[in-house]
Amino acid sequence: MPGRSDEELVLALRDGDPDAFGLLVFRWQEPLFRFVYRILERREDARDICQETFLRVLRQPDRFQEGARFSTWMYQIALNLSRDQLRRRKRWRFLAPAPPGPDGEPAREREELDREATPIEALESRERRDAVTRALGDLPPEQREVLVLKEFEGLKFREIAEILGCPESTVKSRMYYGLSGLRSALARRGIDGL
Amino acid sequence: MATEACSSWKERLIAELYGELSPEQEREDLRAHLQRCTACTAAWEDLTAAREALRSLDLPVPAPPRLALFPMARRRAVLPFAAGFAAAAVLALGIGVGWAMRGPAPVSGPVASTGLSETDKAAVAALVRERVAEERKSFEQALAQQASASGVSREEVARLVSASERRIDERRATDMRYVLGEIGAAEMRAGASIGETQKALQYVALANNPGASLH
Repeated sequence: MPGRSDEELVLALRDGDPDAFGLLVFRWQEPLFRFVYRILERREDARDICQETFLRVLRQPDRFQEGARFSTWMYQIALNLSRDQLRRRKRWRFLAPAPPGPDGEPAREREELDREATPIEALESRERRDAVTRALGDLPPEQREVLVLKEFEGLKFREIAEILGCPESTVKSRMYYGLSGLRSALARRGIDGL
Repeated sequence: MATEACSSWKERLIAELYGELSPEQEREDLRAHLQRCTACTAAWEDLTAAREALRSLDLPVPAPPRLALFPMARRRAVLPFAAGFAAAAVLALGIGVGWAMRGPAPVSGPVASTGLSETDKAAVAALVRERVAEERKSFEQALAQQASASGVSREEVARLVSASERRIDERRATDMRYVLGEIGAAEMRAGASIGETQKALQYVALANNPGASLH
């Protein structure tokens, strides 16, 4: 049935509606992948986290609190899973080989992303993108989470605070230090004049 | 190094940067403060520049891989615990009914491949139908006994069986839609890949034959 809100779909899923889940996945698959990818910067990790997030929604729709927003709940699940993944990655870093691309992305995927531009434009744009991506990656996780949710997902500070379970003032403070850190990191890499 | 703003203005700078500073009085206060505070003005410029860097680069995200989710296959039927043993029995009957509902279909495959005559095939199919009917009957009898032992009426069992059958049908329909979607996507991917290969071969041919054209 078209036109149902996300929240109505979760409630329908809880009541055993087989189509509700498919619709939620259809609506949120891309935004969720985008968000997780910007946190983890690895396609395969992002896919796994998205998959696990949706499976948790499917297995535990009862955990959704009526009156809450579905997206907030979903982002919370994905964020917790992503944090676990980052911790695991950190724990095993000393055993893992160096990542193939500047941000851990396989070269093939990066080439696919650059396919549209001319070689020189692609090179320049890739250098700038790599610098920003690295600077983002160097931020403390709590600052990067806020930055991604605000800048790329376009959420309000109030919504981010809800997802992170912290006061709005903390979110703004993390955002301030995140952007300042990014600015300093870019200046250090010599791309001050963006 | 980015300039540090006055600590009491940091949050307001950030709120203003994203258009979330309100009411108007707060914005007026911030503007007035920026006019007389060089540190906050420098910090504001840094924040704006960092934000611009993020926005202007359009950081790419690869296309999301297709998620291999089988919704209903992973969903466990939630039955009230009060039904106790009857619930487990209903599930067993559901499986039995599902098997029975398949009718002669499973027979046709293997039988057809053995080269049996039409008469033999009909006889085997009839035998299988008979066996399935017997199994179903014995399931129902066993259920009826268990249901009466656990205080659940036969009507209640029938209702649960019917609900179970509906769930099985819905699950099949969902899985079928998923499989069809996957087939469609695979066809599209294969088609695109073939197209790209053909194009590449044409360019190779062109490179080797300077006088030739694509059309």
